[in-house]
Amino acid sequence: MKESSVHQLTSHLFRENAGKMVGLLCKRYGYDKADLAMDVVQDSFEAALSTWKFRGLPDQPAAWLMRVAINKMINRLKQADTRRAIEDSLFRDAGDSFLPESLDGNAGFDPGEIRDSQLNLLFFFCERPAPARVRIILTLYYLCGFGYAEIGNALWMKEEAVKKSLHRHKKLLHFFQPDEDYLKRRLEPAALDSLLDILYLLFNEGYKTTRHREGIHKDLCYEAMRLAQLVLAHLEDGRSHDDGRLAEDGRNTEDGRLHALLALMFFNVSRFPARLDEQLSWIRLEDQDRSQWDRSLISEGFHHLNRAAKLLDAPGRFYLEALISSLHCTAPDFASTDWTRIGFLYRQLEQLHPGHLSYRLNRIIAESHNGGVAEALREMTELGALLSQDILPSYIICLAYLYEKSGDVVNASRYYDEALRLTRSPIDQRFIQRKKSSLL
Amino acid sequence: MKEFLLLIRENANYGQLSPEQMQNCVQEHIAWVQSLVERGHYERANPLEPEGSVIREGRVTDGPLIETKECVSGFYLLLANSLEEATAIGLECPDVQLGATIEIRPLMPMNEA
Repeated sequence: MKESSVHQLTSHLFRENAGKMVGLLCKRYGYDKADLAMDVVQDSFEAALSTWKFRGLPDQPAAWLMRVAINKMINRLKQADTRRAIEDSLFRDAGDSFLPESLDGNAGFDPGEIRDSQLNLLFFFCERPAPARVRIILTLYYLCGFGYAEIGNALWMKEEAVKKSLHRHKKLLHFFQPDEDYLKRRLEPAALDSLLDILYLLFNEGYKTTRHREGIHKDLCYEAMRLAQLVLAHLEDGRSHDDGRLAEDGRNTEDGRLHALLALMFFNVSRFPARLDEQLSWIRLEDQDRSQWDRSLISEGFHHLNRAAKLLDAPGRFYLEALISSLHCTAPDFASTDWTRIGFLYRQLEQLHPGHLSYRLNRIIAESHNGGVAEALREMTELGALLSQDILPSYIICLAYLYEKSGDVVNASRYYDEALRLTRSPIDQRFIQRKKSSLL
Repeated sequence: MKEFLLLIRENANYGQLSPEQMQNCVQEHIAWVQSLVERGHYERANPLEPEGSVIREGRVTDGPLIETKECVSGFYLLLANSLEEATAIGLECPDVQLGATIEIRPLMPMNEA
């Protein structure tokens, strides 16, 4: 215990490994057994819980979990096989065993196999003829180890609705062809859209989580970035074997969009070190110590941004967002930020996605930094008529912020109070509380 | 310091917890054990396999688990100055929040006979 007690669990180890374990178990023993695989993974976590609390952590918790899961899966299949053999023998001669060959003792696994099984499942989900939201739910559940409540949190759905949706759509897994290598096929544009959305959501869930003390789930962000890089490497790899796919002008939208998403991710994580203070409260962009931003991550972001610019034929959502983020990353301080260009870029985003009111909200705030607070407040009133639940807390905080800027302490305080009622995260609450008390 | 046996009886049912929540449980536990080690209360601990056998009135059955639902998942051997102190330590155990029953028994010292 003494030596092993120094081991610390990486945060989200369970969640991240849930996806890896389910992916590997499905790949080896059949995707029609996904529910059994989910059960087995849950069992393995329970085993970890009841063993580790007496013994301390093993040297390699992830490998421990994977080994236990494989053994449990084999045992469960053997039990089912025995049961079936008995049932069969009652009616006719026992038929072929449905146990896969790989059961013959091989409980080892290698990282390549885990990675391929995850990508296979990711590609498979993205291709399902189901609404985008369903595809995202399936991926988060089977591949990313999200529970019902966590999916609900990420997608602004009620837990019960998540459960229902999963129950209704999990039969899609039965269409998985074990012999088909999904990685070898070309992703349809709609499937790629889903894939990018999933990675974006996963990243955002990490970037601004509502349920955790630390506020930023770095590991979730890095997991999304890791998956994005895997997919990109896979696309590039496939292309080098098949020159016919390259467009004549060298443009390639698929790769370009992944580069754009990666650029956005790198720029955003570069600000991690400066976003939270010691009391675990957010630090506003204007108050952040910019020397703490990670320069190497920023340059990585620019690498992807440049690649995206070469490959894309039209700027999309991720590219525009990455551009905005790059402007923040390169501004020497808040005041000299190019708010006019940022406002312009947000306007383009608004045109591309009129339904995403957060773009409009961000644009109003960006333009208010150019001195037009009165105009911003007028636009906020218009926006107020269109609000949906998901954006309401941000809207109210922005309203308070604008009143604060205009010197209207009474209204600022009133809206900070209201924002306090609407937020659940302790970090958000601390932030709002502090802003409110600084008014006086 | 005296020795105390701490038994955790739990109705192991984590079915509703997500992986993230399960990991939080593990982490709380590890933090608790860590603090026991640091404060010098920890002697040893071991989990128990879920299966086992029971001999009752000369007859062997498949373990106590099926009939009682609650089962002993493992034990800790703790060092404390008094039963009160050992009980206070037991109350800190994260399993208390999950509804586990915890039994604390002083070991009878044998070397003074």
